[in-house]
Formats: sequence, structure tokens, C-alpha cells
Amino acid sequence: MATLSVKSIAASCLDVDPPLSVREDVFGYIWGSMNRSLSLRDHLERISGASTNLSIFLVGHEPGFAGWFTQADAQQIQHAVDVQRELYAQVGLGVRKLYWRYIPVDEATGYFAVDSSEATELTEDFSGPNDGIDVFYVQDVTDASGWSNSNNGAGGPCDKDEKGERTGAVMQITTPINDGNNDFAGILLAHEVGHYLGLLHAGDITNVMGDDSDGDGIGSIDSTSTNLTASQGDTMRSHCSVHSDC
Amino acid sequence: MAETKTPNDHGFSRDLERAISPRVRQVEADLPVVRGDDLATLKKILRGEAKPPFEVDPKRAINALTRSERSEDVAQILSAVLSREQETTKVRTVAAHNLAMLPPEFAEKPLLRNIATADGILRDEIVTSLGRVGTAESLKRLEELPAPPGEARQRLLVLAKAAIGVRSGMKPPDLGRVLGVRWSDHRLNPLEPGRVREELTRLWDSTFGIALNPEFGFELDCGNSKNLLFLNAEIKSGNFLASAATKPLIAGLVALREDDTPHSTVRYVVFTTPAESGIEIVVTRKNGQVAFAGQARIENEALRISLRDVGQERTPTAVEGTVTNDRIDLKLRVWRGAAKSKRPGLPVQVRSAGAAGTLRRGFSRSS
Repeated sequence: MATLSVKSIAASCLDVDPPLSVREDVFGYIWGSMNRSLSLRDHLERISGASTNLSIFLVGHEPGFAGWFTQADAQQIQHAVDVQRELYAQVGLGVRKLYWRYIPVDEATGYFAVDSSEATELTEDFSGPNDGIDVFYVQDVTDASGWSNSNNGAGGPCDKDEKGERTGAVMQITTPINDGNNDFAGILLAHEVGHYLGLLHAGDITNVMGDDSDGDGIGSIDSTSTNLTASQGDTMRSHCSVHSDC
Repeated sequence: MAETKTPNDHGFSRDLERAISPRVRQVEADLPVVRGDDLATLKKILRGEAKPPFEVDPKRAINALTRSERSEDVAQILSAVLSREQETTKVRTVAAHNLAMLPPEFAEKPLLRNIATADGILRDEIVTSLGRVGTAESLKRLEELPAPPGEARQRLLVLAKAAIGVRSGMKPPDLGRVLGVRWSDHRLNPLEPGRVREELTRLWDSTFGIALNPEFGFELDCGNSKNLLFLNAEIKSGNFLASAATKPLIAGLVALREDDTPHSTVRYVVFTTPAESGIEIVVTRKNGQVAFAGQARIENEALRISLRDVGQERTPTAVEGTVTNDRIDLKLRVWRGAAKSKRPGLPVQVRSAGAAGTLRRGFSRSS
């Protein structure tokens, strides 16, 4: 196996130069530790191959957690990203850059609990860099767990300045389960971003894209929804928002 | 979804567990409804009278309860959750949100009982819900509230008061005023033929292959700049309707001239296409981006023009007008409120001083 250089990958893939904080600059984890073991080697391998970037919006955040988000919420999102990375690694897709953003409470007022139309409004009003998929975290989605734009398998748009489409995924902070395991949040994130990358529901509850055996367009997922097929990997890697090796 | 009433080991049904558990959920449309014994059990759980052997997501449980029954009983449960000070803001806020789904006679009083909360997040949601179900009594209480900080919060309060005012008939508000709906109307002034010819000599740009009418043109004075509408020479006075309605045309060009420059350049290209009931109009920037679109409908020997901005223009603008065979009247309606833009959010710049795993601070603005 070729030697992986943190400095060279950080420079060529992440556009960051020393001095580096591996956790913050390479993994993009700015919210503190979490109950996950991180492998730098695995991570470098993943992000130097075909990868996507995420612009993660905390809707209603304020510095010092003076807004709607707690530190535990922020850590849940970070945990979710790490789970998503592990799930996507099954099919050779990395999650390279994390653009952490927030919408201050004053601009987010009215979006504490959102429904599907308000989710679309969020993506119409806000957008991160065009080289990353927008993911908006809200406190509660009243009529779903999350929304994304699968476009019948075509996936979400790459030019987020295009109008008339939901240009990102919107999902809620999930209630952590009692043992502190936030893995389910990662499955949800992988599911919604999977839609954006062109995946439809699978007929299998053990698949990240969940079960929609009655064909009503509503997928179900649970804590066992962790698998991805090679075909799904091909679909995701062929989406226009996926970046090539770096 | 098929009914799966099989109880778990403790007598709670699997359906109920699926509806309120944090461990499993439907994704794109999470709309579980519970009935019968399950509904009764759900009420007991939210009242604290029953404890299931599985974990409960209180937000899902509240959403499921409201979805399942819109009754006074449910209002009382939500009211209890809303008033429970030891409960998290998130859960109390979801309860306030859901009260707005219930009949006003059940929902209003619990919301009003909590309007004085010091929790700003919760108060915003209560104000929002009162706007949806409140009566004149709510309007009175909302009028007494001090203006909250921030434009968005103030807007929520204004909307709530406006909605109640209209509904109750107590105080029909000037919606345009209170919601900040402000348009300014600007007439496009016809230019004398001499001015048209003068402005044409100042036009320093391609005319997209058309000859421009040296007799008719319009001007919109925008302070430090002027927008000039030049018409295709094929559109002639005395025959405006027929000349514009018989074939596709580049009907005109809109040129922009800044006051401190001697020349103008083309800003927009006006395309017209005859249609069944009049003319379809598309106005593009020179890069091809559509800026305005609309129609001119034939009514009583006249064309009624109605265009709206549809592109990247930051200020919503409408163009209205009338064309007869020998007269063209055009008016611009310009939005006077905040200009629109796609906002990028605030980026994060974080650099921890300590080792990985130390307690994080919040976001900070990047410089």
C-alpha cells in the first residue's frame, strides 16, 4: 500500500497547510470528541479517492451555543458525518470537506420546526459553496425525518443557484437514544445525501436507502439500515457533485 | 402500512413503538397515526402515567398524538408538556407548535398561559401558534408584548397580530403597512423624437441586428442612472398592435446610461412572440439570463402588458402597461422592501488551542 502523507493530502485534497490539527483540519471535526474510533489512514484513503463535500448548516445556532443547538446536538451531527463516512466507504465514496455553517437565530426564526415546504424555502434562501452538498439541520421536521431531492434517481442539482429545486437535504436533530448511540443520525444523513446523489429507496430495510416495499415513496430505515450495494456506489460516484481523486 | 398489532413483551404494541421510538422511523414522510388502545397508551405515556419498555422520542410522540386526535384531551396533554418547566425547550416548543393544529377553543388558553415565558425560543413559537389559532383575546395580549429583538422575530409577531386581526375583525390591519409591503410606481416617460435620436447616438453597443425606431423611446430615471427603452423600427406609430403581434421580434432594447458617463450600453433584450391571446414577452440580459417574462393580452383593442422579474434581479420588479395602435404607456412597480439574495450563512473558522477532544467553543465569524 502506498504511503499516505497527511500534509500532501491535506494540501491537495483539503486546501489546508500546516500547522494542522488532524481532527479539525483533516477530519473536519470541530465539535469535540465523540464515541468513535478514528483511523487516519482509512480517512486519508477515503478522501483521496472519489468524494463529495458537505456544507452543513446549523439552522438557529449562535456562538457559545446560545441559540437552538446544544453542544450535544453539534456532536451528534459530527458523529453522523463519521458514520456516513463509514457507510459510504463500503462503496468507495469519501466525504472530503466539511463546510460548517450556521444560520443565526434571528435569520432562522420561524424554522425551529419545519415542514416540507419550509424545508424547500430553507434551501432556496441559503446555500453553501457550490462544490458541496448542502445539509440543513433543524430542530424538528414535523412531517418527516428528513427531506432531499432525488429527482426520480437523477439526484439533486450541482448548480445550487438553479432555481425551483430543493438544493440540499434538510433533516432534524434526532433524539439520542439512551445509550448515547448516535449512529442512527448517521444512517439518516447517509440516506438523505444518498438521495441527493441519485439513490432511490431500496426494498431492503438493511440497506441505507431503506425499505419501501409498498412503493408509496416513503422509505423506512432503522438501526440495521447500514448496507450499500456496488450498484448504488456506481450511481453515487457518477453524480456530478462527486469529485474525482486528488 | 399493514397493521401489526403484535404486542411486545410488556404489552405495548409494535405499532406504537414504531410511531414514537427514536430507533426506527419513516424517513421522507414520518406521519404515524395511532388508534384505539395505542392512542390511549400514548396519552398515558405523555402524561407520565405509563412507562414503556422501549425508548420514546418525545418530539415524535407529540407529533404522533396531534396527528392522531385533535381533541380537548390532546390539548390538555400538550398544555401540560408546554407548561412543564423541567422539560427541555425543544420538547416544549414542539408542544406549542402542535397546539396550533388543534381547534382554537382548546389551544388558545394553554398558549396564552405560557406567553410570558422568559424562554425566547419558546415564546417565538407560542406567538407563531397564537397567530394561527388566537382570537381577540390573544391579539390583546400580543399587543402588550414588547417588540422582540431582531427583524425576523418582529416579523413573526407582526404576522401573528395581522392574522388574528383579520380573522377576528377586531382590528383590520393595513396589511401592506404592517407587513412591510411597499411598492413604488414609476412611469416610463416617453421621449421626444429629438431626445430619442440623441440617445441613439449615445448608444455604444450592438443593436442585435435590428434598426431602432428614431421617433419613439422611453426613459426611466433611476436617480444616478437612466434606463432607456428603444423600440424596433418595425414597430411604428399608428400600427403598434399589428407590428408587434404578427411575427416574433426583437421588439426593443433597454439601455442603461449612468449619469456620469456619456454613453449607454444595452442591458436587456426584449423578445416578443405572437401567441393565441396576445404576445409572449421575454426579456433577457445580454448573457442570456432571463430577467423578466410575461405576456401582453389583447383586451378591447389594446394590449395589456404584464411582466415580472424572474431572474437574478435582487429587487422584485413588475412592468405593467397598455399598448394601443398609437400609444404606449408603461409603468414599473419596484419593490421597496429588502432586496432578495441567496445567503451563504456564516462560515466557521475554528482552531482549537488544546489537544483534540477538548471542549469546543461555538462558531466564530471568519474575518
